[in-house]
Amino acid sequence: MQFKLKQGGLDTAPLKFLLDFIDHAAEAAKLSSTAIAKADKARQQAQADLAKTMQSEVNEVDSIENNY
Amino acid sequence: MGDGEGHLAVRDGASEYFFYGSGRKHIKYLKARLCTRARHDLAGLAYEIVYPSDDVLFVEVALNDKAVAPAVLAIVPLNKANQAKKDLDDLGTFTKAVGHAGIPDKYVVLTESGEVATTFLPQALTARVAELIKSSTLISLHLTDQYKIKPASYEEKKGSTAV
Repeated sequence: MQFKLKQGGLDTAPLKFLLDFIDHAAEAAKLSSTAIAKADKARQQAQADLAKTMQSEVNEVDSIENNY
Repeated sequence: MGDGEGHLAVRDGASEYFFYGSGRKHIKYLKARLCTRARHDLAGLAYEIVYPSDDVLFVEVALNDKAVAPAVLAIVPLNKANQAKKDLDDLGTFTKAVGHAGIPDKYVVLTESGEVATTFLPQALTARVAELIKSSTLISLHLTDQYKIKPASYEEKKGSTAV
């Protein structure tokens, strides 16, 4: 988290928010399995897409090398 | 909190200070870096006339294993979202911009799915984010369980863990 400091001392509101956010995130992890499952699915899809892109790049390099 | 020798902050240059803390539920440790304006430096002050800067606090919190579900979520300024996705591997690989009610227009939520944003940012916390953005206090927030920067090779990864 990055935040700007105001003149005249530290405003504690951002730090309080950060700690509350962490506490909530820890609770939310237990409560919302649907959201976490969706995130996991999206992540697996992103990783699969990335792997596909990387594989196609490798194939492209291989074909250039073979033709050379 | 502090360096164990009675100092809360450790000075690391004329305009940089480090803080360290631990001992809270769900948290392994907290590291904060305070970067102040270059008030000690005349040239720096002159530079600030052209390019104004602020005192900025960077807070990094390491959470306990399994304290928070694996997810990536960031709240960043809209005009810096593309740059953040380029710079940070986890944001670039896994996230997309999702609409989240209550977040001011000049900011965007980057996450894996809309449900993640709704789960981690309920209405009450969103209202507080909006307040911090409106008061120009919050610059960015980033929650992740991934490397921020992808190790380019096994050797590089090995090197970075040794540091």
